[in-house]
Amino acid sequence: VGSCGAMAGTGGELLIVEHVKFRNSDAGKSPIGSIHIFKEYVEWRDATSPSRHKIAFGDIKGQRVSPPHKPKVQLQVCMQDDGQATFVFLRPGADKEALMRERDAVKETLQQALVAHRQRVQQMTISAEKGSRDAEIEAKSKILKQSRQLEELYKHLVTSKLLTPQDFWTDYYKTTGKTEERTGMTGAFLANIAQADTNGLKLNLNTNIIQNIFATYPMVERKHLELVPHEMTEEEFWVKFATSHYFHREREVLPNPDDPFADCVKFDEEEISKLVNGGTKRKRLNFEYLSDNVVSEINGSQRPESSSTANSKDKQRTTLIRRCNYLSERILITQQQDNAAAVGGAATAAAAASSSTTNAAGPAENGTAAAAASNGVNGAPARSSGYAVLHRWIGDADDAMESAELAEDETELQLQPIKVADGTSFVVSEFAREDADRYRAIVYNFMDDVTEMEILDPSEDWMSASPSTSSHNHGHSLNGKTGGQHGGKPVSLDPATQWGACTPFVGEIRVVHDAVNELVKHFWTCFPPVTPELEAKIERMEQTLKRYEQTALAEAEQRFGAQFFAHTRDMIGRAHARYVQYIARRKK
Amino acid sequence: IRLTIDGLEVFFPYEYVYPEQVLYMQELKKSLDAPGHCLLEMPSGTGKTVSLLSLVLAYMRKYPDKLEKLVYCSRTIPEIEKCVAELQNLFKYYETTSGEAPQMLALAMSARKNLCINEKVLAARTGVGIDGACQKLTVSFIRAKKRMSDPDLPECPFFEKLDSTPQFELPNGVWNLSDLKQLGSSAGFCPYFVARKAMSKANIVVYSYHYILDPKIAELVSKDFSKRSVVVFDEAHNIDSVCIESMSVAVSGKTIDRATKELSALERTVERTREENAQRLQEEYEKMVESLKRTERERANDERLANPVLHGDILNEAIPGSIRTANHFVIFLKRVVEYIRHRLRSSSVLIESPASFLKDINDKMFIDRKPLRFCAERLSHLSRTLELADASELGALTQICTLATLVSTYSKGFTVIVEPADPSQPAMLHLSCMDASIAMKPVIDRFQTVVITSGTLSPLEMYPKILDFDPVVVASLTMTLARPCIAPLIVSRGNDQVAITSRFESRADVAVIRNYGNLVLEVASIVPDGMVVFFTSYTYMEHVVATWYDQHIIDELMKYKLLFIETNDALETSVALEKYVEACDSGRGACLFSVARGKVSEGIDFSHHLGRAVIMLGIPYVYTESRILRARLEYLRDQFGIKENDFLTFDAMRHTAQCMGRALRGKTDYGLMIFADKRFSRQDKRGKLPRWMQEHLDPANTNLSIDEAGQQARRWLSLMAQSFSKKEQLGISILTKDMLNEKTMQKFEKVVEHID
Repeated sequence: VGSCGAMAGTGGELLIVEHVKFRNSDAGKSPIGSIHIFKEYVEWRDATSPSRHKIAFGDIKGQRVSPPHKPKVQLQVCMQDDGQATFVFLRPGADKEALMRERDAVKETLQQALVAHRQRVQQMTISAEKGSRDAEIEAKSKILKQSRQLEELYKHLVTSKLLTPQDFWTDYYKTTGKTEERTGMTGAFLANIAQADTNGLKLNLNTNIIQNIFATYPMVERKHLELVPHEMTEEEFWVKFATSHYFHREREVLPNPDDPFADCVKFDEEEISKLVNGGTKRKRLNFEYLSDNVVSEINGSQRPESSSTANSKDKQRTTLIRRCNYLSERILITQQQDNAAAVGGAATAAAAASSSTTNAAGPAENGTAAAAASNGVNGAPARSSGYAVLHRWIGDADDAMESAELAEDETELQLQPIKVADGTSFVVSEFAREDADRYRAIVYNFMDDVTEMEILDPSEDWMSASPSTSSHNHGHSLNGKTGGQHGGKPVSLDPATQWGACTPFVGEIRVVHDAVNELVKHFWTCFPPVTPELEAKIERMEQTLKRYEQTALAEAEQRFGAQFFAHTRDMIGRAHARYVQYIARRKK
Repeated sequence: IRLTIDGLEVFFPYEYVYPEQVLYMQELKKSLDAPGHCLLEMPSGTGKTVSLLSLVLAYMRKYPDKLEKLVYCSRTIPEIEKCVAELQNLFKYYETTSGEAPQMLALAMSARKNLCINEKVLAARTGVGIDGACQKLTVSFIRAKKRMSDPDLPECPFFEKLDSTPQFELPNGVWNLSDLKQLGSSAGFCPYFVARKAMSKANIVVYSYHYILDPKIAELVSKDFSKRSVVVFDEAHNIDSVCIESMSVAVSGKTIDRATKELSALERTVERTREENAQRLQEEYEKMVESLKRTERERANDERLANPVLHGDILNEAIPGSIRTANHFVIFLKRVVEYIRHRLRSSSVLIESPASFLKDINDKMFIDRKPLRFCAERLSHLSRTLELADASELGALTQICTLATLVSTYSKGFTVIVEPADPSQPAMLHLSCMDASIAMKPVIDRFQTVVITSGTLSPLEMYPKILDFDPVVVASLTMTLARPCIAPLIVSRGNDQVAITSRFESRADVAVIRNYGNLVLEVASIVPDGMVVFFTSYTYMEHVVATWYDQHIIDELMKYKLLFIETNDALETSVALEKYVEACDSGRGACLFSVARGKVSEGIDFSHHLGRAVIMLGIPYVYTESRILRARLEYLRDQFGIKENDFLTFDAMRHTAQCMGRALRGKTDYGLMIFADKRFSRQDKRGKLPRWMQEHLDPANTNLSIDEAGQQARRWLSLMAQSFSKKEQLGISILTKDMLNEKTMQKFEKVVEHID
């Protein structure tokens, strides 16, 4: 290309070609200048005047080239608004072929840039439609709508800035911890696409199948971006695909300019030979390596000459077989790429999960760990860890001796218990020894305190109608003693009578109770404070509790009477006591 | 542990031993004691190699004057390497238990392509290319020339260093290919020539069949091995084919064209040499006479392994005058080449005996039988005299001379077949060896014990016949198993009750092909991980795959497993295989379509998850219309009284067993074996399977429909999926030292079966 005078520019240009005449559909004269292709647009610059003409990729519908027998070598850019911009290649001293080469270079670069541009646009649209941020907000507002009580709580605590939204949502909105593992690809996604019935062809396509096709045959995706919707509709594209020779793997594909998939075949052939020339990593599968018979190579007796001389007829017969192999190979490669990405994702997810184990995320749901799909049907295999037996076999096959089985250890299992860690399960982290000791000490300390401490009695939960309360108590009555620590307090009165006395206020009183419950819960979930974040949260919650006590609670007591809030006072008091204790211990 | 086998103390490098290994060693010892030859069948995965090595090593240490050398022949490089690894392990065991490794030298030997460490030579890549490049650097006269006149000639530093240190000897120990290379790199010696040099002295040599069976190589590397040697052919179920292949020559028009070119080049060289150094040509003849005399003397004194190409008779005869001088010989060869070219023009198929070939060449070209017999020897001398370093430069001519020598030497056991050109192949002249015993005879005659062993040798009585020897021990050992990890099922009909078979009349039937497809689908939906499907031939596979594609069976299959298919191209197949292994390793599961007698069925193991099921679609009869096969069948019938059908069935069944055996490579392994052909139900077919397969074939499972087979397989797979440990095998299929007494061993007396 360089010899044609084309070059990549320094100012972000992908390609610059000099000596190009530009003819606009409306302009009368056609000056000579240079054409510059950028990442997002094409620009033509007049050689003599500062006049420039810029075409954004968004406006381009497609491009056309002049037929080879025409004297002029032209490239036409068709616009969305049916306008055209024509470029004539006029490099002095170059013959027609050189000009055509130059033109083709421009065309190819422009095409690639266009495809890349369209890809970007498509991605942007997709992310705008269902951005993860939006999805989260939507999900959260849905949660709030579903529970009036939560909504009240949210208003009371978050809107009043007592709690940060993050703190609030830790308990009520759980992200799965990691991005959802991509569903594996079935090998048969091409199976039922086209069904010929009496009325012609019927296509069964869904986004999943299309995704699979794109992932397996990237060239089809490129064609799709090139053609849809600029030259044909989505529907037309898939009909063409399903009826193409390309789709029918047993057919030979003749180079047909009308068939948009002819390129795909060429691309596939290239990929196949790339794969084949890549050779094998495992020596024992390499037939050339296996055999040690040099003389018969010379002798040539009863051996086919060499594979390369296989004539074209043979090739044709093996087309189907080679394409079947290629399909499977592509699926495997795509899957491996996915896996590589997933392993990366899983690592971060594991990190996130291990930190979440320390807060009240709840016990692991190990029971849901799915058994690995034995058959690999749609199976996205988890291969990162825990397959000792399999790995041994794999290693074995390569270089173990026949007799090695005799030497095997008694303890080595032949079966592998499989644990698949998904987003919801408890990740058992390994701690370093000193860390483990430290955490253990903290927990023991905490447990000591608990036995000394007086704990709320769940049986006295007179507000048991609130689910959050009960869960809270359940979570923290670690060592709950039954018995009336609150002996003789008004709470033991018949609730109905008491409530009956102030029916209109019950709702408001309840909000206060819920809020305190929530705050206290956040306070207690920080114990044992094994990370600096949790320590900071204790501080924060203590401040919040104090503030709440002085403002909202005090106000409510004034309005409805202190007797309704004795319990809340008590809870806050205990939290304060625990805080004092905690500070004292930390100072030690 | 130390075992006592019939009074001989054997060091066995493991704490456990399989009962069949003990019995195998007993049989082997009988044969060494006799001494005589033996045929032993024992399934792969039961540790044949380690038993054999342990026993022979113990024997050699105890009776060094009775047994001097072990020559272990295997088929592929990985097998050679594994065998040497076993040996290393055994030596280590000797060292730890008795404080000292055996003072013996053991080494692996292979072609230059696996041993060369000279980067420049390795750049040639192909086996032949590397050999040629090496010879150009190392042949004596080129090196002499370099010393004398032309110091700019390239040289191989590794070879030179080895040559300049003649006192260097490979130390005792076990040398694998990689060890030799490592030694070569660190000491700067050429590993290939170190190995070549050490071979005659070594106590144990491990190499591939061709080094002893192929006369052209055996002459170079194996001829001075001691008579008191034991020669082992492992994986020997195809040994007759190897023998035949090594003695057969095929000549095409292309070969003739190349030979003509080589001849004119040769002629020019002769002319030039005559001008430069007439003396040398004169000496050449004398040298040749001298060397033939020496060979004769050595053979008379029984010092050497005989070369079947160089027949005993010609050693006693004078070289005919017509080819004595170099240019006479060249002219003579021209006539031979012209004659073959003339024969290739034939428009009809001709099958004739060597005698009528000789008569015809005499009638047409006035070429006698006698000079023809000297061709091969004469050419190799000439090329040495003319200092043609690279043997591949005379490749086609060597081939024609071998043909001339063979056709004039053997009146029996060979046939000449001329096939005219047809669209699928060019015209060919085959000199086809039909008698495997010709190549085998020198080995059988020379060495005191020849052991032929494999996992699948059944029916055993066939081998002594076709190889024409008289073994002292013929035994088949089965596999002791603590759980039924072999599950042979014979599927004879589809769910629609249509018989499934690969008989020629019905194999193209759509119903049969669909039923085969249903079977594959059924198995694919049941079996985890990898499965392998064998077809009877490549063309049939192409046909079936195309039909399945139309019937959407391929698409259905892809729902369960990824699909990989063997192709004609070795490289493509390698890549497909590797992807298959990756798919199985990653848990995706895959299905491999392959061909019986193909590359995959011979060299690749599908242990554990790589092969949980093997399906044989049909009986893999060899293509009977081949003229070469026809001629061989007739020969076998006339000479050895083997019925045509018996041989064909034998051949088909051994390939079936080979394919099936691919899946089971050990006692902890397990695999389904599905025989999909109605004809397998018959006793005359399945009775020819190895005993270890037959024993696990339940009579109830010999005539199943696809559904029934599916049910059996389901039940069996869930049984196999249970965990399984060594403890459960103790006393049943694995023994400790304490268990090795008469009483326990009595339990296993049925494991071995002798065949008279």
